[in-house]
Amino acid sequence: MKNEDDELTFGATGAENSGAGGGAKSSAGGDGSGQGVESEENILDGLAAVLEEQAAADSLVRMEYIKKNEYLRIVERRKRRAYSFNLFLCAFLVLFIIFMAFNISRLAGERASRPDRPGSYRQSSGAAEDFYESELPAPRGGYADPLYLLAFFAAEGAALFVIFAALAFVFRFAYSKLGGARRKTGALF
Amino acid sequence: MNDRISKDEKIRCAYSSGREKGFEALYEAYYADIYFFLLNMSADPELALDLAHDTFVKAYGQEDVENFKIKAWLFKVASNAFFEYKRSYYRRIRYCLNNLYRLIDPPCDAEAGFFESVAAADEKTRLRAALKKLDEKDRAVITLRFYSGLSYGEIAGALEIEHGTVMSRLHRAKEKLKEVMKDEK
Repeated sequence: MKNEDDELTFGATGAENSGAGGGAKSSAGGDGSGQGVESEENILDGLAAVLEEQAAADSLVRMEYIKKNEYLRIVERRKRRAYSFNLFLCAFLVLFIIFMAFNISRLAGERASRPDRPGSYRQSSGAAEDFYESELPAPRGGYADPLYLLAFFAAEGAALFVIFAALAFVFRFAYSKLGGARRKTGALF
Repeated sequence: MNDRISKDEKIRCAYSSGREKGFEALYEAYYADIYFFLLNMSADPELALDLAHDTFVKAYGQEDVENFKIKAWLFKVASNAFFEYKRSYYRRIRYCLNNLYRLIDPPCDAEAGFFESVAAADEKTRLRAALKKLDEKDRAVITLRFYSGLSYGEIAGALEIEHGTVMSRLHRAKEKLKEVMKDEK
């Protein structure tokens, strides 16, 4: 019966994984019955030689720089991701509030400056049927449904969100690439 | 096997001191293994670097490693990253954009030296070219078994397949690889 946790031998001890490279792991453990091990070893002889050769070649690869650089990128990326979305959301909300305040003050100003008109809210006081004919100017100066205005402002907010997201992506991309260039020169010293 | 057990124990001890220390120990112990596994799978050093980065970003988010086999879990994350890359259109676009960027900002001497060293290691043997001719699933099994040294159970866990499937893919991959290596001689 095969022992799952044992590993095949390749004849020689096999290349060890080191910090500088990878390689095939091997141990002195057998894989089951003597006959099974022998026939499998015969099949593996050619493969084993190639794997050992590759492992030996890989162990010569200089990994120190890449390991250091990648470690910094991984740790910084995880830390950045945690608060970048919250910052983005806060910035968007602040901008949106400012934008809404500007729109509301503009509307209030237009309403205050408009003279009274027949059938308007000021002349027929308390008339329920005139409510939707009250002085809520549409963007181009006519009267408009409040629901329409709400939808209009929501659409403006959504457009602002998309533009802001695109700008954030561009700035983050540029920052990460410039940051990469800085790290490259810094890691050489 | 004993070396691996003591490596995993050291990593668990490091995690008990905190996630940062634990991740540092995990990274030092297994980065090279994961990178070369992904290189064997993709035969592309830059893609292997990208996927190894994604693997360890996920590993960094792991708070506790007490209850599972660290190496098998890490290889599972790495193989998922590779197969997800093959499936995902977005990831391939991102990889292409990163490579386009290299034309504008070429790698520094140390980075270029690393890629040259990997290419030189590949030229000494025809293994990676031969591995590329295998089906991806067979390639994963043979790489995990003979290059990375996982047991059958660990391979089944890493690739999320049955034990019997590991054995049949291994047998198929060995036969195919023998033929390919013979043809290339």
